[in-house]
Amino acid sequence: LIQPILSAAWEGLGLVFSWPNIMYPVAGTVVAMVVAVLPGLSGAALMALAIPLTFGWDPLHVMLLYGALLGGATFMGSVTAILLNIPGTAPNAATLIDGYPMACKGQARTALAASATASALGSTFGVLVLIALLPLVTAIIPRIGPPEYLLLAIWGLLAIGTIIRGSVAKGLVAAGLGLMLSFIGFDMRTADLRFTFGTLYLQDGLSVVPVFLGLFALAETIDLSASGRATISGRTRVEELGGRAIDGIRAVYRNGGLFLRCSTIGTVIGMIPGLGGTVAGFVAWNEAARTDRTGSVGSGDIRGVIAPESANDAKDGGSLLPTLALGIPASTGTAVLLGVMMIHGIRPGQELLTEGLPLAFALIWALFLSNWITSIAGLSVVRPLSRLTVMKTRRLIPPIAVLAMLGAFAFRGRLADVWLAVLFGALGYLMKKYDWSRVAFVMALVLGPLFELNLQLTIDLQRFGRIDLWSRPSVLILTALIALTTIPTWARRRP
Amino acid sequence: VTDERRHATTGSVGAIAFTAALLAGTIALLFATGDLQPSAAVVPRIVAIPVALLLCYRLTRELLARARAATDRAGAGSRTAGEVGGPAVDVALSQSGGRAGQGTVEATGSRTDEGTRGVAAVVWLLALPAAATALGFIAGPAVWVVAWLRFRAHERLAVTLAAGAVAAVAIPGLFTGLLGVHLPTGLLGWFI
Repeated sequence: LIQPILSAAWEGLGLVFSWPNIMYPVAGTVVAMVVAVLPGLSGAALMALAIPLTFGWDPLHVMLLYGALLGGATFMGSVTAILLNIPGTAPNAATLIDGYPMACKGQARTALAASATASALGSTFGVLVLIALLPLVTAIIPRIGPPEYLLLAIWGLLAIGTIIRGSVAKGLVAAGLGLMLSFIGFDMRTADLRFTFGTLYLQDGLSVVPVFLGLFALAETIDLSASGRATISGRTRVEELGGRAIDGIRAVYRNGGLFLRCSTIGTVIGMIPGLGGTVAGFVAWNEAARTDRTGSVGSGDIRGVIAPESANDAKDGGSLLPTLALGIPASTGTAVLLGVMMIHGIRPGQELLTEGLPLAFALIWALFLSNWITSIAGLSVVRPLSRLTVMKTRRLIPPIAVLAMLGAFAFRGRLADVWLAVLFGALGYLMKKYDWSRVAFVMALVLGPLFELNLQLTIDLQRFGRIDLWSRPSVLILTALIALTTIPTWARRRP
Repeated sequence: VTDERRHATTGSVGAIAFTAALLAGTIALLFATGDLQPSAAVVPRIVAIPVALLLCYRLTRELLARARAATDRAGAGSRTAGEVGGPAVDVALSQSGGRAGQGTVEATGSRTDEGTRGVAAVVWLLALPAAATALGFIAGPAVWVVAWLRFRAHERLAVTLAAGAVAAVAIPGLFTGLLGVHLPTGLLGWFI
């Protein structure tokens, strides 16, 4: 079983590193890096835009390009998250919780270097797990059903207890409001329209991209303007900045246990269809907060950067498992990839994992290569990028605001998304000013649809005798994990 | 001290108004579930009712904090100048986690200024999509950048015009040229 995989892996590696094949992942990585810096435009959007380009291409070249597009966007999105409080892509939203406060303390270089290192190593972890589990995955993935999804959503929601700082009531309200807003649009079970107040725009629900851009990027521009801070870091010259890149790299090795746990979280969540990088990032950040005894995670701690970044990149490897083995896309990016594979006659499943295995490995190595290229490129530009934190805020606000607005528009091409972003910008500023947790709000907003749909499905399946909830080993294991990780957290909290 | 905590202003007019607005919004959503089928309404109600109760609790605490601070200020009127405000600050600190510098009711002039600047920043932000709607997604943001730098940041005219020109070139170059995103024209029809 192992011998054909190893020989295919070797053959795939040769395909990637031969001329002119190498040009495809390199070019794809460069384009993905540029796009990831622009808020609102995800790697998936770029992958969709590139489809017409690939008509008539050799399937190998298509796989090489798309492997790079899938992996290249992840790290660069964290650059804007750390420096400007703008998540370049939605999965980077968890990184800004600690990354931006680090930049405010003048430690942007350390945060960027830690992010780049965690990303590169996280992707390596994800790819290694992908290679190791490829033969086994066909047996595991089909056993994950609504009860398991429900428990994962509950786990994420209960994890909010860890991230709440200060008043528990305020944190719970913020999470509750996030959940309420996640119910906007069609009820997936009854097709009832909920909370749309007669508007067509709200029928599809709230899009998370303008909400994220508003709550974090635009809220930050308002706060910068209101506080009258001269620069983000409070320093006016780059020489005054503390923190070195090497400290960020070392921090990843010093927190090896956290890195491994979060990479595992990212890989596992990446494998599960429908969860995606945003959930992976927040769950991993929660792991950093849960195991933090100093209470500093959430206010500019390097561990709060390492955790989501390692999970974000590890999830790319995980997400390819169900895509390649079963033809089930685990994320938006892999859904586009699957479509492109179909267009080019590449059929996932048994055929791809036997005769087409070298082609599958070409994709995997291209993903791996793009993650390392972006991280190395990121490390090399840490110093010039950190200059942004000593720029005068009055000059920095216009590009942030314009980029956030265009990002909100570019995501779906709707002008209303821009107004929504501004509305959430004002809400985010007020939440920040009056100490209501924005992180709890967005976590609940992201997990809400997953929670509600699978709650209803689980209840129905149980009621009609299609499943026996407590005879499923996965349910018992997940329940035990949830109890072990969340009960101590809530027990420590004061009302 | 994190930004989130730096801003804590328990018992301030703004905090009370914000909590009350959240409560009003939650109650509006709760009422909106009345038109739904029971199975579509059950989960939103399960969430909204405790949220509304918690908001009532928070609103009560905010009002009590304000009342206590007012009583303490009145009581402190007869003391020496050095002692004035001590109890009020204590109340605020007890509500906000015990950090100094998190005074109560817009305690300082700088906090009032911050509020005014915050409102001004929101108005400026609203002007950005308004400009894009009126002038299109190329000219609108460019004009907004010029206006911001000139009238808000008080930059030199040369810097302002250069930044506007960069915006007018970079936005279509990046979004339309590189990424193929169609940027709509404005109501006034500029810059197709």
